[in-house]
Amino acid sequence: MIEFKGVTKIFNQKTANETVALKDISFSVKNGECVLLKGPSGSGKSTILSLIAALSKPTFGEVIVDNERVSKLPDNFAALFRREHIGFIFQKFNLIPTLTVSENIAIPLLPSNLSKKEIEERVKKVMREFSIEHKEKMEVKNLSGGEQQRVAIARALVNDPDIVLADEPTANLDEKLSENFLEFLKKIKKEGKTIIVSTHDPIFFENPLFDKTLEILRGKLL
Amino acid sequence: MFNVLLFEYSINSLKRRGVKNLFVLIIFSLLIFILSSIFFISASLREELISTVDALPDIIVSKIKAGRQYDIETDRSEEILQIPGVEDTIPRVWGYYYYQKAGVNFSVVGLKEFENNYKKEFDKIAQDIDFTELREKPSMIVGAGVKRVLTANYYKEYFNFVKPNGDFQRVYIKGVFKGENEFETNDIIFLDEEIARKIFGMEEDKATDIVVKVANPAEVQTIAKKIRLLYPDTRVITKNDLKVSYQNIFDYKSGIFLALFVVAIFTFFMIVYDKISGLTSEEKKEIGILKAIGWRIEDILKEKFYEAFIISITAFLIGVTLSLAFVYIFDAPLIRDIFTGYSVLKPPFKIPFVFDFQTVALIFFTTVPVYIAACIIPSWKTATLEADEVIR
Repeated sequence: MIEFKGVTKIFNQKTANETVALKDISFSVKNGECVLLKGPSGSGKSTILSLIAALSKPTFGEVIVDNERVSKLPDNFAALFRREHIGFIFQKFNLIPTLTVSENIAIPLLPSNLSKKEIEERVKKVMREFSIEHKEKMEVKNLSGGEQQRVAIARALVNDPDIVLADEPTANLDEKLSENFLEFLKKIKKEGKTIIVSTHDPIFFENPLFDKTLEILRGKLL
Repeated sequence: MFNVLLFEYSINSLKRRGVKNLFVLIIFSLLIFILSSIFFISASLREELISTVDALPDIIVSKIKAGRQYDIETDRSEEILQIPGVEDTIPRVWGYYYYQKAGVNFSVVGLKEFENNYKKEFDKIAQDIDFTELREKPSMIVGAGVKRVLTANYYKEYFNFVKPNGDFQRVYIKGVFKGENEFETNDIIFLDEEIARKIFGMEEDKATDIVVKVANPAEVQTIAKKIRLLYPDTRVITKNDLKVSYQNIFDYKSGIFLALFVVAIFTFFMIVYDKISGLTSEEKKEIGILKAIGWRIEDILKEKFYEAFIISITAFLIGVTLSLAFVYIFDAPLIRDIFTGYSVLKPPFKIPFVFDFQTVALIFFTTVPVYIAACIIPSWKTATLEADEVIR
């Protein structure tokens, strides 16, 4: 279960550029739920995902994931938490352009104690699932937007996370690829993963796939 | 703990920034090469200097008239021998013979058959020479450089010395001398002392100078003082005076090396400064991505450590190996000339091999850890920021 308790996030606090991204937000997401987080650009959607993934810490309030106060985790524990529980699909994919498809997908597993063989098997499995195994040796900078997105999804799922966070996943995709993404969400929902998708793409609105919709505007939940 | 997968990632990362890293590797290797060469040559030449100075006579007495050196009376050696503490005195007949055609100076040394020579090495040569034969058919033993010059000027069997009165003194080449220290022996000609006198036009009761051996090194200064009092018209030089003079020359030339050293160190710290002053936006973003997908700060630093270690240790090994080859196999061409100078008869000087482990360790510890730290610090700074902040 993911819980936000009175979370406020202020960037550049006590400077001229101080920005309040979230104001006293509270909500919860049950395990296995698929949640749509919608709102216009700059409303605070990405900040909520960052806080769940412990990529940043709230200025006030608490973020609790499966009874763990992730907002209080020291940096190294936060990294371990992400490695074990979170699959993050970034808006701009955040792939390493000069690495190949398989190398990009394997990165989250490198610091773990898995054997090379086990890592290779896991990477192959996700590449097969997302039909990119034929591009295994290609550098990702040479892939199309849709292919890059599949690599990003494969990398997010290679460590078999409980929670999948997708930040504006269709922002750089055409309609067909966006529909493919919805298919992917259906698939992983069946696997019982908790999913939170932040978007302002209408293709997701009113979709029965989502159990819950959270709407956010200027840092406040509506 | 060593992580082979992170190590492989580091190698991959170095390859991805291949041109930049290759450039750093080349510059770094070059700097290590320059530093090591400077240290190796200095250590070797210092060793050579020490051995040369150790072989010098305790005291040399020469006669001075109007500020110039003149032949000294040989009977003075008998009187000096009477001074308590003096072990032996040896009048030397030696000098330089200028061979105009080749534009070189030969060092002509007269050897004695039945008396001690001033160097043990010369005694050894004297033992192997048939002096009767040398006198009957005037002959000489020459250094390798002398032989080379004479052969080049068609004197394959003999050489005609021109005596001060203009007459020729034909001397046959009996053999080529190859000493332990080619620095000293390359331009040398050994003859019977009588022939040497003829070539220099030196009288029977005169010598070039007198070498004094002192049993107790602590008494050298006192004996030198006594000789000065006994013969006010002489210049008395002790081994210590020569040592200071040699050291001054060495220190002066070391200054040129010091300049090279400073330039090398300065360039190294320029690289370090460049590294420490920050990462490129691409490198920062990569660290942010790694953190966002579950790498801990220590994983990132470990990976960066491997990268810096691979570059620095490779550069160190390349630099030191090249330097060893440059100094001890190729005899440090160009750089060696700073110390040995230039002359036609420059000996084929072999730099003595001195492997000073402490020097190598000093170079290692002043470069490799500094470079590694310079690479890790900016990565650590970025890795400790919130991943979200770095990716944005």
